[in-house]
Amino acid sequence: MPLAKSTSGKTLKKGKTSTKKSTLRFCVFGDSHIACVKHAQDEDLLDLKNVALEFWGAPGPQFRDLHLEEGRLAARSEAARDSLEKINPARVEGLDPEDFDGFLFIGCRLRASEFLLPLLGSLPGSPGYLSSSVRALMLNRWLEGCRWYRAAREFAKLRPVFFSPAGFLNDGIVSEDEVARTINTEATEAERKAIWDGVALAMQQDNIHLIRQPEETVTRGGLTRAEFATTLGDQGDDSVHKNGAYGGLILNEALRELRRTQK
Amino acid sequence: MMSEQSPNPYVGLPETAFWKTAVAARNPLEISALWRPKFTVARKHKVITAGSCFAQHFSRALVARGYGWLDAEPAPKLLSEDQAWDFNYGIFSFRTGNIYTARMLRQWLSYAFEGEEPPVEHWEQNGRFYDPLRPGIEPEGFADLAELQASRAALLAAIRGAILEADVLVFTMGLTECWRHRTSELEYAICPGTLAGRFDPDQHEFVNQSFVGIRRDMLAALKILRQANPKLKVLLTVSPVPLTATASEEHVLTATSHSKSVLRAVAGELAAEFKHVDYFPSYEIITHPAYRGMFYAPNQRSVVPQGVNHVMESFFACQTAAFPWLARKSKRGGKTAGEPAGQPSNARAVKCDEEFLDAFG
Repeated sequence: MPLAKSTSGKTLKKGKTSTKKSTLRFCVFGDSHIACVKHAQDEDLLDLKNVALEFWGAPGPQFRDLHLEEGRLAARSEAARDSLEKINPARVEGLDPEDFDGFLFIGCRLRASEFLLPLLGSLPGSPGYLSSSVRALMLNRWLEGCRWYRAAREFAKLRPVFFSPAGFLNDGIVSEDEVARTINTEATEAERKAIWDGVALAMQQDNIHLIRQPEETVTRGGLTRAEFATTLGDQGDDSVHKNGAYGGLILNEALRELRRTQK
Repeated sequence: MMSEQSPNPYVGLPETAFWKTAVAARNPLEISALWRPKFTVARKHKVITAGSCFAQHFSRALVARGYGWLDAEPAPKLLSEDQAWDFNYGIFSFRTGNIYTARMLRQWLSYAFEGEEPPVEHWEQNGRFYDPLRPGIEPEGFADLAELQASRAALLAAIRGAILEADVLVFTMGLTECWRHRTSELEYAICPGTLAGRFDPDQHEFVNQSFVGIRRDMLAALKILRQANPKLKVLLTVSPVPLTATASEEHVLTATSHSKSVLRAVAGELAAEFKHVDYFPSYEIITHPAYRGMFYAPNQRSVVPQGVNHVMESFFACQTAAFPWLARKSKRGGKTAGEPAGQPSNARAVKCDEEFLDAFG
């Protein structure tokens, strides 16, 4: 999919953080899902040659306190600022699209499960079949209903933006009852691809590049393979978050695409 | 001084048997005990609704009171309420759209349960495809014939699932007038050429269904339902909404009167004939002169919300009068209704914090 050429050289303002000319300044933005990329960095799984990587975001409730204000993301609460202080103390005041050469929005309350699973469960021949008109409305609501997707769209007017929706829930954590009720475990790679293609097309219209969930991380139609689930904690009951291996796949794909388009 | 009344069958009857005490002496809103239900409709029951538009009020009232209305074709969660409504989700228990006539009900049931092949006929307009059995089900029709057929197949599966699972079917009889294909006798949901399609007098004919024909179709429908689900009870109502238009060459007012009278008579006969079939008089509550037309909007056609409320209040009042334990159960049910289900709402937020702290803490 074509991606707009970076305009970083033309729009870089004086007084901004200086970097080597050949170094890409790249920012990972999101909610707690940015953690998987940080894990990947800590585990040396990222291809960061000539890349200056930064993170910006906040977990859980604090994430909701991050708002787009006059074209930049800013924290509206002390709690959110505290989170920013931890992950990027130099940029507590806000995230400006012009501060970086590209962005990865990850998670950000845009959950693959909420859109893909109902569609995978409603293919022709299945009881809950949904028409293309209904699917189109769902896609629009899924994207437009996400405040941070709308923010990504604003950022994409100035810089390349990649968006990686939160991956499918983790296999082995979700109860089998829920799996039976909500997941078409027979869904194929081709069926997922067809839906992802539609998402990519919709995002492309907003100049956003979709980073889809890598197929090697998917199992049983619409779950994430257990080996890509976070290993945090002893409870083993986190059905949402992913590990460094997953984060590495996502960020490396975004960087690969960014480099490709900047050649 | 009058002599004492000699014994006769009217002596000792309840006051509801006498116009003077049951109607004339009462404020219309206090006319009560209009219905003696044959069976309970309790919260534990799965109720499905279909039929003419007035049936929609039943589902809403049941949902509002925490009853188990079964939606066999629920809207995807990502649709807004308005979008779901536009695409006919959540209106009836399955996306047939309005089933105005007994024949239409019979047709749907035959397709769903008897292996009868649905029609191949479809209507094309501006590159979109419309189902003659439910042309308004998607505002812009379907993208192609395959989509139309896939959607219809899903509907038939939903009908099957709903009827097999339900305890009670509420069916509102709406019209006697309909349009059919002259040779195949396929009945259309609406006259071809109105919402979609093209009217062709050589192919399409007007039929004003008779008492005998409607009764025959209802008997066939009841038979299919009984075979599919022997425990299913059927509650019939008649829509109080007058005809929008008539093709009978009669005045629309007399045509309405004729149509509703025939439907009312069939419903009454079926309720009298079968133990598992009952008739609830929502039609009378709205239309009867005793209510002085107070439940109609100024166009004398639309039923105002107060009318719907009164109908539904009467429904539940008659249920609890006949089955007092329903009220007790309902109170007990209310206590548990607000209790949270599943994991606490802040569980995910806590987990997010943990994950984040681990990475950046």
